[in-house]
Amino acid sequence: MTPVSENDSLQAYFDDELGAEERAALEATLAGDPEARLSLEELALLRQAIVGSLEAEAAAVPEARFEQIWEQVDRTLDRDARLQQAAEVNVSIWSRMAAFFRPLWVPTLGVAAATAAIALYVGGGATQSAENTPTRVASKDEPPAEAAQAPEKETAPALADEGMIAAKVADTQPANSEAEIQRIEFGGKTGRIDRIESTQGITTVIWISEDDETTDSERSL
Amino acid sequence: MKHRTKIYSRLLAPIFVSSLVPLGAMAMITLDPAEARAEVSSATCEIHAVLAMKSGDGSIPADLDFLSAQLRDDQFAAFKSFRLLDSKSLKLKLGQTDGASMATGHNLKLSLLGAEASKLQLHAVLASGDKVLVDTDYKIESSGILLIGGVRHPDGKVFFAIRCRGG
Repeated sequence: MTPVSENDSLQAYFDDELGAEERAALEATLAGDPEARLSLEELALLRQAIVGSLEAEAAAVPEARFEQIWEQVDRTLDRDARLQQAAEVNVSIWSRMAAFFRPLWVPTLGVAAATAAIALYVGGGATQSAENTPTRVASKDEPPAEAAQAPEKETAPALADEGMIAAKVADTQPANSEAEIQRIEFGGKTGRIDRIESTQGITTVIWISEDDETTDSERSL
Repeated sequence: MKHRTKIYSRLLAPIFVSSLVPLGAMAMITLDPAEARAEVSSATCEIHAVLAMKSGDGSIPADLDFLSAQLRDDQFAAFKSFRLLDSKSLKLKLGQTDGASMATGHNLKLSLLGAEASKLQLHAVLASGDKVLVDTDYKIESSGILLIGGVRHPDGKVFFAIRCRGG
């Protein structure tokens, strides 16, 4: 029969793995077997030495280091997963170019919209500028040929004179076109400033009277 | 956290640009081009001589449509008909004077004194021969009409309509 000190049952007893009957039987044996008790004490010392060593080593490593290690492990795993995924997907060159230019889409569209707006604005301004130039209005020195054919000629014979305007004014008066009279001097005795409120806005009228004497009527409005 | 900041910084520029561009475009579209121009240094003026008569059917001829609202005002109620006698055009440069001799025998001198925003500052002198009838400085919106009236005429009274447009 194998002595208890060499038997696996002593190790099982030490690890608290025996049943109640086996445990009671082994404890009865230990009571009469000094060699077995010594073996049991040796096992306890060995455990104490191993656990103490590991605890000391763990205490020497700071907690932050563990987090760094785990983060590194996570990053490595993520990177490997991405690389594997990228290797599996066959990305075309067009997709790659689209991905490269994706951040530029909005600014590019914005610049294009601004350019279009400026072009429209400049074009509109040029058109308006062209409209503003009195192409339909004869200058004093160069009466247009169509002046002689203007319909106004019949109602106003004087319009056939040199330097007159060949076409009627087509544009509308601004809504608030009241003149701000800063200074006025009437040649006659009397004169007054009035205003007309009409559908075309406010129009200032200077009424003058022709007399021989000169009258000054300084007005600052 | 770092990844989120990177996303924000990537989105910031497009968002900024995409919000500025419509604003700029709207501002340019809504702004009156005449106002958007930096400065007005010249003006085109039209001078119309209108005869107001105490006889007639009260109608306003087509060539005076641009003055019809004013001529229908009570101030012209004494007159029954109107006729455009003459129209002249002047091109004024800042600080320069130009004159128009009207078919009525009157002379109207205009000077562009200045311009700010959409308003023009003008100097007008209406004379009959050597006699000055009125001499005035005034400010008016571009394309606004100033009427100078009450000048004697064998058939009634003559009014002068002055309309200047900046640019």
